[in-house]
Amino acid sequence: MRDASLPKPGAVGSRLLVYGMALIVAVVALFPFYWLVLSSFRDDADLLRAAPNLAPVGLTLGQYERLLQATPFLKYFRNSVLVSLAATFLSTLMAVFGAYSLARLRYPGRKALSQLILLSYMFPGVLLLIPLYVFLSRFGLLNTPEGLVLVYVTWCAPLATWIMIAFFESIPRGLEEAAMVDGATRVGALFRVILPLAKPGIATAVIFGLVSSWNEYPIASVLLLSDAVKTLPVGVGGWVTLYTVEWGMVLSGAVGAVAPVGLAFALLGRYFLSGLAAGAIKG
Amino acid sequence: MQARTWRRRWLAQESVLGYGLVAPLVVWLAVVLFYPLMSTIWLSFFDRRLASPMVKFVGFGNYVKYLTDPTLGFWAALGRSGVWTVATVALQIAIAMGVAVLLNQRFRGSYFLRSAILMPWVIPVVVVAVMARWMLHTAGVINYLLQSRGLSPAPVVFFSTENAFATVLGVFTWREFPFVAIVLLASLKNVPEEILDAAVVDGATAWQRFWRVTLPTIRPSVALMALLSTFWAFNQFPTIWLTTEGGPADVTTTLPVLVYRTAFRSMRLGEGAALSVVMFACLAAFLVIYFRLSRMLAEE
Repeated sequence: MRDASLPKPGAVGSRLLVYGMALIVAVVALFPFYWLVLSSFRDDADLLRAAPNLAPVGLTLGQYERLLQATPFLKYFRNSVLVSLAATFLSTLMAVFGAYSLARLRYPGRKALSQLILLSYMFPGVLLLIPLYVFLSRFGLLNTPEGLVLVYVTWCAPLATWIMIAFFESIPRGLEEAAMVDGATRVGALFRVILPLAKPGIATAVIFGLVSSWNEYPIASVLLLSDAVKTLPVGVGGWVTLYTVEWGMVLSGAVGAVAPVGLAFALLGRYFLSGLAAGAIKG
Repeated sequence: MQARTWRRRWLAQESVLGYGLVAPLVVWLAVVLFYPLMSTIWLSFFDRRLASPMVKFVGFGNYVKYLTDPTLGFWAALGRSGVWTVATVALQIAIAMGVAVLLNQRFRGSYFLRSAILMPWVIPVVVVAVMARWMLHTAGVINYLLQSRGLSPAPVVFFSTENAFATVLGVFTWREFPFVAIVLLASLKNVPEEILDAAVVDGATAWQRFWRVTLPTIRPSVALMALLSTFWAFNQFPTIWLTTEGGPADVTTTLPVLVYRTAFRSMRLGEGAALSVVMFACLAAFLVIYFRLSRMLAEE
């Protein structure tokens, strides 16, 4: 599929316009990142200067030393990693099998079930905060990573199911039947034929799950109260009060929170895009 | 084997397997999602406080209180939510459309830009809030650029009572438009070239081609993204909370912010629950109106 042609192909004016617009878009989207990272490598005196230096000079690791030695940052980081991995693993597992069932098998109530599950994706997060708080405190799961994982699985599973349903629907029907004619059981066909083909879909679901869990703030802020269990967004969020803010700490903490996501995105970005595109076409 | 028994065994196998595979998911969602949602309604009939064992039945008292007393801020918050939603969705669609058309052109770096532009959307909201507060500080880099280029005589107070709403709206739009742009880009690529080429042959200008061929073709995608964006905008909480906590002086307190603050700052869980239910009712009403409207439009 070729790109749309420009109004006057080859005209210098419209080429300039395109590059100009592209530059503006790039700057608007990316300058804040540059500025964040740059600022995190400046020492406190530099940060308070009235005329900030836009060039990468005067860099120091001081903020990061302090972040790693004098704050619970590493604890927050570890908590985020554990919670994200656990929640993603569980939700993807259930989503893959659930989506296979909803997309490829026939049984009464299937349509209603899939609509119900997709509906839960549209739910406002805020609505859940209060009942979840009450619910988890009743079971003593407040302020625990287990409680958070419990909620995050519910958070990630509908989206993962949606992604997997789209992928399963794109696999030609009849592959299972062909395998079964060859003597495999239905379950065997699922594991040996369908799942290997759905690997890109599973990768996309995993990425979305990891990123959603890593980034999540409202639920974690309500359920996690002590430093020992806080995840990164809540920990760093707690440093950003409305009054005096220790910017050096906050900036380096923010970079630390964004670095894994940025890195993963740089390496695996194509899965994101292909997953989104697939979802868009189905939608 | 007889064909009939084979078929019967197949169908029975399929049902058992089907229910079995989807059961964990359904049970999990039922327990951790649907049950708590139902209990919100129950909770809304009580006066219950955070960190206190006191529970008192008040019937519809919570609802009456917030719907009739304007000083409690419900109607103001609802109004702000409405303005917030309409403004950001309109901006997102307009900007995303332009960006999608741009990314659809062939130029060096367009592939890189397509990935890079998603960065605002994939990062934690905390980082977005930090960026916003750091850059839009009265002594921040944006003010520095504005002043040194002579674009503004005095520092712009982005988080003043007059400006905060627009500022946070801008921050949220910055975060959300990339996703819309990428989805619109994907649907732009599905516009059939033959029709576009035929239009060129017929002498249509670029603008006419866009308006008469491209737009109608991608209308379903635009409609879907508008609907999703509306939901996400109306329900949005973290961006506002982490940048302004609903202030200053409540100017950025939309409905979700009000719900959170009532429940977890003012410690009133019952009232927060009631507000949640009302918020949900607004969303449901919107959905009903939307589907009625789209059905009417489809029958034209």
